[in-house]
Amino acid sequence: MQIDENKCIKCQTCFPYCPVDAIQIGRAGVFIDQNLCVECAACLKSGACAEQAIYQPTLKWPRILRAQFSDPLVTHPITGISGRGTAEMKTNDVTKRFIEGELGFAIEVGRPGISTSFADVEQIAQALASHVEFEPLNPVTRLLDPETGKFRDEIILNERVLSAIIECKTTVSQGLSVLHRLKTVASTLETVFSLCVISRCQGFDIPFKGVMEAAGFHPRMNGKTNVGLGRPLQ
Amino acid sequence: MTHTNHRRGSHDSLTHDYVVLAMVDPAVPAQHTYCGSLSERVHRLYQILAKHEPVALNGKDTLRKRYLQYWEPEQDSGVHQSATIPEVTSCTKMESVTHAVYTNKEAVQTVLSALREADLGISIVVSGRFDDVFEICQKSGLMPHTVNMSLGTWGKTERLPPRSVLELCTMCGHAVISRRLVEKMIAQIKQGTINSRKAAVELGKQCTCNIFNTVRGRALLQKTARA
Repeated sequence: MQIDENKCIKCQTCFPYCPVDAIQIGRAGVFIDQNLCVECAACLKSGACAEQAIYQPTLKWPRILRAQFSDPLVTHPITGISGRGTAEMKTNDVTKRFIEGELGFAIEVGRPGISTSFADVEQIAQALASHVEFEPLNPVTRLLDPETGKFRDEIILNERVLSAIIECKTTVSQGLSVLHRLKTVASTLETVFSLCVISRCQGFDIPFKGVMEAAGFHPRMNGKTNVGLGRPLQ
Repeated sequence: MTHTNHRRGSHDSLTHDYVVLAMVDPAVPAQHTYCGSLSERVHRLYQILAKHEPVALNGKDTLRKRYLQYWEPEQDSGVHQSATIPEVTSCTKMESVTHAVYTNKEAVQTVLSALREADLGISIVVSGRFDDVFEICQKSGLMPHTVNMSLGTWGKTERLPPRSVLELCTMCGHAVISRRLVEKMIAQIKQGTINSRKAAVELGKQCTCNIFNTVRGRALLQKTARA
């Protein structure tokens, strides 16, 4: 995002609409810190600027990644849906993406509201590579070498996004090992991640929940439940 | 895409926060053709979701239609344009997902029972407290298929805003409601320059997926402003 200094009246009304505090004021006036800006366009969409001084220039590679991962209204060219990940468990009743005996993980790096560089995303992916199966349709996976967890193009490492989701799965027997790996890598990051664990239900039971709790990993009281109404049911 | 997960809050506060998400998977053609025209099924879906007093509901016609409780047209700005419930229920298209937000489990139970009876073939995910959602499933004659559990936030958590702010920010899963906007709304409520309804809408309208619960948001803003 950019600010047209000829239009900006320095009212600072737009400042609180930026989720990453990229809009700042200096001696020369109001500007958007291009390193911090994740191109989510929240400032522009808010309509906060009565002077229409905020605009989005055409974005080129690799900066275009910022908008693709940060702006929920941008349909991601990889998934064909808006948002930062796949349909994951939302349509598992018709896709069988996760079958019994498997666990899904969604590691949303930068969420909530801290943002992340792809360098931090890569650290996590490297810690998991060879221990999980990365989701092939996920936008982060498409940028990775799944064998090593390294990004194919180093030029993206310094790009910042509001969040990026690593989606992967493993077997139930490997689930705790993945959680321990994530716990180790978490201490090395400059950002945060929000962690999801996806599991098939057995009736009204979630068997892996008890396994996690016994190992000291406690899920929150609230989460998402696919209630099995999708058809044709798998 | 886990945007309806990771909503922060106390046991009591989350008792008033349920998101019903509907999705037809782009990669499953059989779901698009199940039992006839998808547009008719989507239209029926909106009617069912709308019938039980959602505090948020979105649909698509030629444009995205967004209903949020308390949102009056005078607060429209930028791309954020309010719609009425009848405007949403007249829609026959669906973006990749659609959502409705409710403040009580009785409403969700009624919605799920109606969706079960309608047999639309559209995948439905309910976000909320698992104990409540499982009870709702049982009473609606449904069996939970798959869950997505939140293990919270890991890493440099000292960078996160205080809990009272996070409870509001995390009602937008794409994190486009900034902590500074929340803090500004709280400050303005304290000063008496905005009322809590308008403050809740100002936050909620930034969430273009339309899953911000304005009723819960208003209560949280009032509580924090009083503290």
